[in-house]
Amino acid sequence: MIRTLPELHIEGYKEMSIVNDPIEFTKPKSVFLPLAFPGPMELKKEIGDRIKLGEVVMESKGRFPYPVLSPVSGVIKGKVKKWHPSNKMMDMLEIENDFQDEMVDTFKNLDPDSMTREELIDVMKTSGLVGMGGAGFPAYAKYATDKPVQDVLINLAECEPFITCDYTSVLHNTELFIYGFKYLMKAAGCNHGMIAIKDKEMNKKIISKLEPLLEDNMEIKLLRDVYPAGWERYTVETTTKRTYKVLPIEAGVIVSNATTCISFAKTLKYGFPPVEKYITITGSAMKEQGNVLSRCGTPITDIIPLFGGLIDGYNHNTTQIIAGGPMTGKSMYFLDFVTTLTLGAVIIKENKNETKKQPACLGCGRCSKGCPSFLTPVEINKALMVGNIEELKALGASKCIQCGLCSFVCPSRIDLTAQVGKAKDLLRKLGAR
Amino acid sequence: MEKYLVTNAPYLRSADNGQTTGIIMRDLFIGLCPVILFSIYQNVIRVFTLHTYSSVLEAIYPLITLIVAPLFSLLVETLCLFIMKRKEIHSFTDLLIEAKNGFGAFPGLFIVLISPVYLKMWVLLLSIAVGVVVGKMLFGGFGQNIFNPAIIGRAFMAFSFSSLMSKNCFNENVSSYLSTGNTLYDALAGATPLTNYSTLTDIKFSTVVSPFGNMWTYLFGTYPGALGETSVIAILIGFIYLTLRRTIDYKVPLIYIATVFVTTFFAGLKYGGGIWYPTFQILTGGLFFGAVYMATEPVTSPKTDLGRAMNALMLGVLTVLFRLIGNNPEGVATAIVTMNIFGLLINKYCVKMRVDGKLTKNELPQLIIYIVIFLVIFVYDIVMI
Repeated sequence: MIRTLPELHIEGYKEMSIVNDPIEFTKPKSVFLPLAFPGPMELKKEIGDRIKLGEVVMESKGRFPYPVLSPVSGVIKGKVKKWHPSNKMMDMLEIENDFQDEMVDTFKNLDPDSMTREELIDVMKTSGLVGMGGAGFPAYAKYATDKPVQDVLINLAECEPFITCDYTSVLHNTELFIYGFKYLMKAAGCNHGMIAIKDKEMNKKIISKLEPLLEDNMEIKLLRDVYPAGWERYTVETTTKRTYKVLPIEAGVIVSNATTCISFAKTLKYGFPPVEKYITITGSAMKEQGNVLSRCGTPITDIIPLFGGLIDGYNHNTTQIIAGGPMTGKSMYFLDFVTTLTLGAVIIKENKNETKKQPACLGCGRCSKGCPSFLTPVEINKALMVGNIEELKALGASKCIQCGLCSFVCPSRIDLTAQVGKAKDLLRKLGAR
Repeated sequence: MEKYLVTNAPYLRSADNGQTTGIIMRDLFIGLCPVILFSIYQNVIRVFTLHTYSSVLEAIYPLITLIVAPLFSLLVETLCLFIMKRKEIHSFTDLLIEAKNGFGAFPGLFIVLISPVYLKMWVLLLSIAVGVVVGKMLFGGFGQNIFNPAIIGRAFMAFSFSSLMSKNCFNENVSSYLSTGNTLYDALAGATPLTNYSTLTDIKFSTVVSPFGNMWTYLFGTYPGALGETSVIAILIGFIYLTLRRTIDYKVPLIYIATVFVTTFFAGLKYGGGIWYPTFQILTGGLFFGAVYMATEPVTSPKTDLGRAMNALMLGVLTVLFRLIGNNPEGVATAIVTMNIFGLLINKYCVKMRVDGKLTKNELPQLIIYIVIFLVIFVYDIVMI
């Protein structure tokens, strides 16, 4: 009565990037790794050192330290300034590729069948496996839990429009995906696994390919074709019917992204560390669209020409470069940025409507109806404008998940998502003080 | 290096697929069209065919007001914008964009639709000016107003020119709801069903309903009344269109009208009961028009489903209260203005209730107060009047 979960279907625009077969681009001239992102890093190598593929370049500091491995073999050239997919210019370490792909021995000849749960988690830790769905949270921190785990949930919802990188990697590595899934379950110490995938026409191909390979303790759970069905909370609550407050582990579930699963499988089976992934290059302002397998840290300026570049006669004042999905991604000032392990897509599209002056808020209430966290963004926006902190707290601004739906549905194109984001940041700052 | 366009996420908008505020307002106008067309039929075409007019000007007068009112309203709003936003407006194009984004024609259109047909032009225009300036522009224009500007204008008219309102501008001795030569409702001097009702002491079917025809008359709207309010059929067509286009929340009119029906059903028991009494009450006096086009107005309604439902329930009992206790035919307008104020409060705690997902200590007292007020008015409606 008071509230019902909104279920809004958003046009996918996914077909355009799966028409062409995916391509591989694993030989960039140089790769660039951020030196202080997402947190402080400790450099383990000197400038000028030779480095092998998979060797530890630096290690992140923080609550859950994890190593950053070199995606190529070559020589560390030095520090340069480059654009990051968060639309910030930052210091990056340049590694010049020698095109040998000489790999480290750390992960060679692993025998996952004889490994214990702890050893598998240790592989996650030493290989620097992070959540590749976008969060970039170290995977071992999730799996090394002392709470009981009932299910491992592989998130294959790929909720956002345009992106098809998870779809592509599972479609072309189905056996590897199931292989990785099996050992993720072992690493979680549980005996049941679920694959959450959206129930739609496009996914039938992938489901029919997955079904014969499934083992007895794995099952496919279909999600409705709505946004944000891939949101961790929505996925867990609809597939398991259990609820949680902060982390899915409270409901006995560990959620991993499909690409993370495949990367883990590659490490176990071939000893290849998790340093490459598929990235979707799409959008109406690209000549061709598709997926490309590339090492992390590859400059986008190297990848774009593989798809023919931008369309002729584009106007850079009305063209947007979006790093990530169209609902939650970042819009970039320049094309000169590098990929990361959490980047799923680069969308280049025309956007001519944003600059026009729009009518004021009509009060239609669509932002409120569409909010999966049951907030009323327009009221939060008003409270933010007058700086009423108490009101912001009462309106639950900190519960926002920044899914982008309120701005999406707003008929007056008010930047509600950004405004609620500001309110959330404000509350966080005040709370930390 | 080329710098590309940077905006905030998301980069997809349903507004790109035509779900813009402009389209919503266009749909609202299309939803009003059945009502406008019917009022032209009832007050212009029918007058021509029945030859109940004294001059051609009188015959087309309703049509003139229908055209002049929205234009005048737009003009007043543009003037206000010009004065209020001088710093932001640098050119004539800026002014046009501001005026276009203000949807200034609507208050005028609504006022003319809920006013007597043969009202003096200056009264109509003055009311529109007051409605637009006081009801809308002083709050900051489109989207900022607390009250429905059309109802502010209408209320201004009712309070300031109550004697002029009942007089036909072509002949002072004839009702403002009828053309001068119209003899169809002669016995009642062109009173509307509700003005007639408010003068009665003996309430029964033959005095309340029969003078104007039967229930079908009320459904089709061929009786004296304001331009847009009479035809329930035309309003229902508009309602269906607006619901299909999702311009309005269909639950609000349904709850509102159902509440009025239930309340007046019980209130009518002392007149011998029967369905005719509540049916008469919901079909007359602009309830349908108010419920479909004005109670749903998004700017002044609560933003959540629960809030809108609570608002509509209260509107229902208040309408009956104002209509019966005050002998006031403007019950709907008064109720909507009242709930514009209290709607703000209802919205506040419904929004917070939705965040928490349950009733908390903070919201409980307010909910109890709401329920108590609702029940008191409901019982009062039934028992006392």
